Amino acid sequence: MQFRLSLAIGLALTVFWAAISNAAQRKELDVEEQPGYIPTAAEEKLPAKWRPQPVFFRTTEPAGTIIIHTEERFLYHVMGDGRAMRYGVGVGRIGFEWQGIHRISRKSEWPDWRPPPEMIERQPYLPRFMAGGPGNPLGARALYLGNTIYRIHGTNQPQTIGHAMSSGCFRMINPDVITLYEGVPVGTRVIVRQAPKL
Amino acid sequence: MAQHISKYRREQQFRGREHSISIERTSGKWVQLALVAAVGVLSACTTLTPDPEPEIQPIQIDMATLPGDYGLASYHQEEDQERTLEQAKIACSNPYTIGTGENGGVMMHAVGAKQPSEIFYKTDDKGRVFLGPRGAAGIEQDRYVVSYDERVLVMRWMEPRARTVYGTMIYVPCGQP
Repeated sequence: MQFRLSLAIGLALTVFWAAISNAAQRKELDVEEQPGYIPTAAEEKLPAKWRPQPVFFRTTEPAGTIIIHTEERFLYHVMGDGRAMRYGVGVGRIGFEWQGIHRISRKSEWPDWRPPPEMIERQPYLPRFMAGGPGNPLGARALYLGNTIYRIHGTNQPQTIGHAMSSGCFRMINPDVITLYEGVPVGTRVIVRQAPKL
Repeated sequence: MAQHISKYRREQQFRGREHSISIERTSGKWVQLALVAAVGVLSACTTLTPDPEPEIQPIQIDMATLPGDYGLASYHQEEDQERTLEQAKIACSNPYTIGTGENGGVMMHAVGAKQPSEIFYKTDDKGRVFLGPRGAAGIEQDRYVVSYDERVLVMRWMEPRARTVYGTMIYVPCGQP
């Protein structure tokens, strides 16, 4: 009886601890877009974990495929032979997660930005269209995913890499998105994976 | 990695300082010729009186006709001006409204303000035109009027950060063909 009670308490504590640490890990950035802000080179030097690096990556997908693990906040560009180039990304915040398979339908350099309606409601003086360029929230490049509203794009907020705070798009620092842009043609298969959660 | 970062930096610098780069590139080969020409011109001009500075006619804005709905778009690079104008027309689907002020001005939002405040037409001694709160012309709370042509209003914030963020703003009146 006493053993069962100890076991139950231990189990409850484990679950409680797991819940707390999970909540701590999931504490996300709450930052507004900063149109016009141009990040410095130092700001674009990400922590080692989020920098591009070749990794072992087991997959049946052919070389050239892009696989995004939203839970990990990594984008893998499959190189073949069990390897991939891994990049740190920012992903959709809670309620804006999604998964699916698409192809890159369009590529754009220095894409234009249109603030979302809820942002215009809060800041009525915001231009409804801001031409692309350094300081634009969509960054240096954009890769459009199928017919969806989602894109893999650059950002002028390097501190958001590794966080879930977008509206479903995937953001990379500008130097990384330029590299990816040059390495992937239109038609490239993009797989967005969302790991199951409790 | 270092290679792609330096390419990005070069690209940023190019977009931001296109003009200065082109001057740097061409200046070297013309420097000597320009110096020779300048010496010639200066020696020939020493007896002439300088031309008076041309008078700038301030841009005229009838504040009473300004209130209404506008498509609002902005750009930073001159090369984006034309298509930004087109996008401003499209932005009439979610217009910015300039209201009528109680004291002869118009109601517009300052950066960061939730509510509009009344602003007025002002000129400085150089003939430049500003829209802003009562007081001296050209203060940080003002918008510098770049042009006002066929009711299309082009302005820039005087406050440096706002100007960096929003660039040149184009207001196109809605409901015009």
